[in-house]
Amino acid sequence: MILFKQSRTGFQVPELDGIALHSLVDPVKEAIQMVDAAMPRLMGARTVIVLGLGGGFHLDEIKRQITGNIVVIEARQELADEVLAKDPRRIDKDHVLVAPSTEDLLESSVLLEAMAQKFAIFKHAPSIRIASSYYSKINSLLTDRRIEFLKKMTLHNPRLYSFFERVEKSNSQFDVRAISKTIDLEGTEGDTELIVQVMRELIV
Amino acid sequence: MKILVVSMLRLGDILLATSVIPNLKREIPDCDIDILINGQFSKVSPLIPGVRKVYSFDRQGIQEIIGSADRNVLEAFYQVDDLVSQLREEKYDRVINLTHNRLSGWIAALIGCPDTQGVVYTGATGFKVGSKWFRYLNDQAEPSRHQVFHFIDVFHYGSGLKSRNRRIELTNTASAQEFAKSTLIHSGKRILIQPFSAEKKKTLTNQQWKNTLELLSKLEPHAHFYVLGVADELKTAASLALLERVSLVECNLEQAFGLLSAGDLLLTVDTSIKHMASATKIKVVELSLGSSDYQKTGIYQAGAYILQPQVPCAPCEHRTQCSRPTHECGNLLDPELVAMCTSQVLRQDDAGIRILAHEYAGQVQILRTYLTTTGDWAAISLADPFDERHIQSWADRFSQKLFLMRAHERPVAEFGTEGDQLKVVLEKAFPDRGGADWRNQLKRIETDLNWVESGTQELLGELKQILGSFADTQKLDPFIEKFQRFESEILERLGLTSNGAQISRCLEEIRHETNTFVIVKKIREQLVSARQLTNIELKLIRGLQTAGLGGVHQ
Repeated sequence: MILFKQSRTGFQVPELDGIALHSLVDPVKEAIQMVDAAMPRLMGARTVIVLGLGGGFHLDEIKRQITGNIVVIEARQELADEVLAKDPRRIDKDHVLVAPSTEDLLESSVLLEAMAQKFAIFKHAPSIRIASSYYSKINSLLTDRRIEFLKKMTLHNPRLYSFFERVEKSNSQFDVRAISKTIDLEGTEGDTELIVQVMRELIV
Repeated sequence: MKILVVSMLRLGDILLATSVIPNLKREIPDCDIDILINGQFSKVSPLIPGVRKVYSFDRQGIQEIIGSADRNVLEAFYQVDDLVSQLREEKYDRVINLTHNRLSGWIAALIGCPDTQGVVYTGATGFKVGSKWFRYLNDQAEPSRHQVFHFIDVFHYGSGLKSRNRRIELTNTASAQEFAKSTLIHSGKRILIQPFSAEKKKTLTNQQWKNTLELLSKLEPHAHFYVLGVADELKTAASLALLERVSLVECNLEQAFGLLSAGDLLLTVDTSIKHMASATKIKVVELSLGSSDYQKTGIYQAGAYILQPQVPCAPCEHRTQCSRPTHECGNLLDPELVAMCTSQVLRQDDAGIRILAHEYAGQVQILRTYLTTTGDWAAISLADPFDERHIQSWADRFSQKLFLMRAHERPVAEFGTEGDQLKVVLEKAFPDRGGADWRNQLKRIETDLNWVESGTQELLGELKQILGSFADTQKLDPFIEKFQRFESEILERLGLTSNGAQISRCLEEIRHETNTFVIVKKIREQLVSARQLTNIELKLIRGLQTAGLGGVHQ
């Protein structure tokens, strides 16, 4: 059940199953602190994939600090409906992916387009605490390093997709150390291969 | 013209690399210069003048993504991809890669500038380094055991720069000046102390620092001592704050530069603060400990002093713990010596320092830094024994430069200027020697070099004989054995010179080579280089014989 409570600073804060999704004192200040802490990861991202819509205060702050797009993955339909109804300008509703199964998520062109270029993931901790098993599955999917999943994630990035197709024959995981041994990097000047070499160099 | 300078290692390396920027600006007046640095050290950016844009490679961040199971690995890929795209969009006319590692070689390849100096991956042919100077840098990866060039000089020549003046130039911001003004408030001389190092083996113990400061305080009763560091470092040195006239100063890089610009003397270990000091006029005493390799990265300033303990393991490898049961190099740096030397440097008592150098000879080498008129840095020991080996090591370094500059390929070689500079350096190293002493030593060196010259000729002649049948191991193996004996004899007669070191490297390379054609090719190239280098050195030595070393003309 969703209730909205007024914070001391006068903002409407959603409370889900009796748990407030933002500070009831100053949700804006809290959002600034959360986003500031995550900024090193978010900087320069073309899209920030946000796990948890909450009341949207963190979205406002992300929008203020970066110029890229935002895609939200939210567990609860009723929360999304209420929050988007209260302020439709906060985020394009097509960019809020509500409760898809992990399989459906990889069918979402909004998400796949986001994953075709530089992206970052922002986790809204209070939302995740409330629907931990859902977000845990989503997180596992988003961090899966099996080539078959990475191929799905890069469907909208032909360069990376074809790279994963190429390495799939001899690798089941995207382990840069193993991959750079099995693919023929010697003599190749392909960008993708060179970037994989850069990544490999960082872990050697 | 748009130029990108790449320096992707640590702060000290970045500072050394920035030394090319002022000369690039001077020699190519309308150029725009960007730099690509390791993001961890981007806080140095405001201090670097003459740079249009600073690009950061977030090495730590990318490593964290790759290493964490909780992060999407594509994020790491895109981080690199995004940076590369930005760099490509700049359409650089020249990329100067001053980072000598594979990582930077891959990135240079991704940037794809046709005019790339320094390491770059080229596809089918692997990595190339371009200038002979960068190849030289590659050959000097091991800790220095003989005279080698300072990194700033190598970067300068490798970047194709001509100017004689080269040094690190940094910006002393208004806020840094204000910080210095409000910090250095005590009367008398202001002595800055930089005792902290990320590597324990590169500094003294707290007790040694305490003893040094106590003695120095007695020798300089009117001076005030400022120990520089960040908060965590200063916490470990609380005992120093209890000493009279000692203040602990917490400062960032920008503020440290303000202090260095206003201080009278810096006593330091091998840190980035030392490199920053070279952009000021402050007097410097450098303690070269552990993996600190003063020949490559010593204080790049004329008239500074370096204290180098004489232990066979110095300099040791980077990023490894001290391999000795005790910290031998640190133990040799007697607080009394450090305090006395620092005091004498402050008082500009050059004669006193020379006496001290002789007193501690065999235990600690005291070197004075010098810039030749051609702009090269040198650290001259004040008490080296006057023998063939030490003289020859200097001649070897000057020959190496002429060789790298391909002077021997030009119709009129520039031996005169370098010969004059060699004479100056030798006279500074051995100021008390007379003409007869020099004549004897130079004659001996000439004999040795003639022996090397005829040895290389002989080996080249023999190699020619077996060229048609190099696949015949019965002929090749005895030749390689002879080549190995030649290396041992060079090392025995001349010590570790460029020739000896290069032949050793060649032997190391062919040890892992199975293709006999490649083996023969490598040996031949090495022998040709050895002959050219020896001929250059012979000319220099003969030039010295007629130049009147020790005040007597032949």
